[in-house]
Amino acid sequence: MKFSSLNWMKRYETFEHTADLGIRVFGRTYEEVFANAAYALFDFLTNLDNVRESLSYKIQVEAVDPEELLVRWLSELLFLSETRGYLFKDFSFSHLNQTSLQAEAHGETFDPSRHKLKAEVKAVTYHQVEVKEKDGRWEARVIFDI
Amino acid sequence: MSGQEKIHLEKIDEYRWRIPRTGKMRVDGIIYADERLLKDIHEDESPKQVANVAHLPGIQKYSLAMPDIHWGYGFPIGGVAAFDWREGVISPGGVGYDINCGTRLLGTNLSTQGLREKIRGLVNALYQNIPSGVGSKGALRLSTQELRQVLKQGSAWAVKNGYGWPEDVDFTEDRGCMEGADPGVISERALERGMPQLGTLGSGNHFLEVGFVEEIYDPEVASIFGLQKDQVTVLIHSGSRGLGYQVCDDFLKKMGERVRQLGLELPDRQLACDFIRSSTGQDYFSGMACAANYAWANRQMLMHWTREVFERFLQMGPKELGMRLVYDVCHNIAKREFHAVEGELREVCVHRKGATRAFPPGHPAVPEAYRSVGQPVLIPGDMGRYSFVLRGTEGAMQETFGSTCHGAGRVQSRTQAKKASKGRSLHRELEDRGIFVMAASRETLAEEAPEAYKDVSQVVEVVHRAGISRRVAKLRPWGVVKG
Repeated sequence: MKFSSLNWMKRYETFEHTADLGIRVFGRTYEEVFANAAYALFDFLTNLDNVRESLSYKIQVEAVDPEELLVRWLSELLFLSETRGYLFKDFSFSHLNQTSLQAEAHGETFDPSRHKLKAEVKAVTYHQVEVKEKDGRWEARVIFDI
Repeated sequence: MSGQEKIHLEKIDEYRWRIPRTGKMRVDGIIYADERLLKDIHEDESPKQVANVAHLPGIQKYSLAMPDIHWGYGFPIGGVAAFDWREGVISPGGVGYDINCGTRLLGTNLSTQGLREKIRGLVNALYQNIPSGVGSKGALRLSTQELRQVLKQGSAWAVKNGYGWPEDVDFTEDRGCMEGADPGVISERALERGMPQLGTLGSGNHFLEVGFVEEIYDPEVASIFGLQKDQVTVLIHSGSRGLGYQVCDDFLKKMGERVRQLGLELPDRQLACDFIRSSTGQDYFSGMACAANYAWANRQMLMHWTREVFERFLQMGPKELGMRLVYDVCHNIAKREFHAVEGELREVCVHRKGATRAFPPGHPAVPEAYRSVGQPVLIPGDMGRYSFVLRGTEGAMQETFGSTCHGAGRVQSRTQAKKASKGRSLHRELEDRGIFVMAASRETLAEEAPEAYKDVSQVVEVVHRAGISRRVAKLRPWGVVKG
């Protein structure tokens, strides 16, 4: 399941939050919301046009419900980005349910000659996090501490 | 945000507003603000957050908010709350991700006159020599063993390793080392994030600023703090970097589990907490203390390099320069302190999230040299206007668990600020006002534009008039390094 070719629908939008950055993420499916939320995180960190897909990284996350799963998933990606320098732009899931996921993230390692980090995200917060289905579509919201 | 319930505020007096206890709130909320600031405060959800904090077990007297309050996650930024040490809770969201984010102020023997021709070069040299910006890494390569020592010892570790002078420690809150730090509770992940970042300023609202004393309000106190008009100063604002963020994140997860086990009903998930006496509560306290110590070592190193750059660039010796640490305060922390509650001295855990300790004259935690006048309180403003030095008061002890405001507080979101600065040269605008800025990123500079913040003098006016701290001096920015 790959979603990078998906263009017809807005993946996410940001919303106003005085101290931090909020994102509202859209998807036709539950998986798409998880993929698009991850995309939004890296889109905020760097210009993804300059990121190639030359490596894949396997990720496993567990939680008690979809909201926590979303926060843990994004936190995992943030940790990998900060400590290993990974920049991911595409995400596929071999398993995803309410409380666990197994994913593969595709991208490359930060290269200062080609990449620029636009901003720092300190953490993915639990504040007003939401994952829900609405009129046959999926939507999530999450706030980054920046 | 639309569709949020509006919180009713009752006016107590010109500077105090009560949120009456309703529903499951355990105490009233009190917000320190004047009519002008209240307008901005009502724009966001922060009064609701003050009310939310009042739901937590063991809260004492009031859920408080300082005039620089704005919407945080869980606790509002600018929030102060104390919990009974035996019966109450501790909450990572009541401290924030950037544990012991704080400010330190250095004095110098220089006057503005002597530096006028050199300020631009000096700021450039500071920018070149002090690691800053997104994802910045320090020059230091520590082993895990050494990092654990940093976490245990804080500023003392830095001084022992040649970063600064022994007397710096005397002029740091808690002498730059929080008790109870146990590196054993720190995750591998936190160590991994913190390892390469020690000795870095970071990005966002963190900065290093050369400025000068523009105005003295209280000459007697200013002279005891070693401040005089036109004196060149340095203000450093940074925290515990990725190590602190990860400690907070780790414990929010653990405490989220505990909240479910305990069946605690919380109005917001980010308020996750546990009883202080529980093992998770104790572990968080020990982990938070480690992050606090990391932050103190970090600011100590940043200050040391600042002194070195001044010495090299101005070709002056340390004695001649006299770059003495005036004080270092933290403004994201939970502390074990004693405060008067219902006529008795009670052991409490004071959470200050975007709030500064403001201990009064005579308090044993105030450095001896300042004890007759009270603890220095450092309130950075935006980079275009001014910052303030205040002192702690008995009023703060009686009303706010020895706490006051911490800064300006944002009025514009980062996106709004960026939009507002489109097509403008902020560098030029600031230079026209006599302020030279070196920033690692244009975006950060735009996000941090002066008008994105409240006028800090209004915030300071409220705490001064309410008597929870008193104005001592005003500092003017001159050369700014932004991450």
